[in-house]
Amino acid sequence: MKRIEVNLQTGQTQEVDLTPEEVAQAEAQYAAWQITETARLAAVAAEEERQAKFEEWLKTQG
Amino acid sequence: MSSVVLSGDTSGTVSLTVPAIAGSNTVTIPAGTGTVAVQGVSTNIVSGTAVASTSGTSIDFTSIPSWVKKITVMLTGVSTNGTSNPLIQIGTSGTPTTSGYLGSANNASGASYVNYTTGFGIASGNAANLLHGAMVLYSVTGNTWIASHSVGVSGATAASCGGGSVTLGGTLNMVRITTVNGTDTFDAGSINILYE
Repeated sequence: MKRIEVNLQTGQTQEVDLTPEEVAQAEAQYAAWQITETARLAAVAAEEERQAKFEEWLKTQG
Repeated sequence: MSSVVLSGDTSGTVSLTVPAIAGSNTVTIPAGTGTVAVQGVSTNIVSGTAVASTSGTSIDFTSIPSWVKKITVMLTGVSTNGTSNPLIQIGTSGTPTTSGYLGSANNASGASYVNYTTGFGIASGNAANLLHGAMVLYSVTGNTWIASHSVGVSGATAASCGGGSVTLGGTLNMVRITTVNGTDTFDAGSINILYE
């Protein structure tokens, strides 16, 4: 994995490799994100299901 | 009206004048090397270097001067290769602060409202989306900063707006643009900052 660095003092832009520590941190960050994202998607799916059921019920009300 | 007249090396002059009835006032010119801004002619806003956001998992703008009180992060058609939302972090001593943020962002499609604690988030949520807009960071007092953004999307009928705050452990000197999961890669657009 790489990072782009723009040094405003020198005006230099360079692409640098992430250190092993930074890669490990990114992987931990990804694992945490995956848990949160899975929960969020489940909540969205549950809400969509509730909405679909409500719309079905609404159709029966004439 | 009295003036101090400075001659150009090659030609012309610049006159420093005071009103005819001036009273007793002191104007202190800041110590440092640079150009003094003149209202209506020049600006104190400094532009960084635009960088193509077509690779990398993060983009850092470093060596931001300590006197800066406002930073505008500008996104032009920015995209990543995944679904993790873009995140803007600020930091001290060249290291981004990764916790302690308060705030949220919404996706105008109404599909998501997300709190962010590891940075100032921008809802995107789709690899096909391109982000256009800006996040503005303001120094409130000391090392406390707030953020506000309004960003439109091409590739979907959506937009993101939101805000947040964070108190840094020292003087801000860097801005990082990354994603919440830290592993998605930028694959389109360009990013630049203005600071003042």
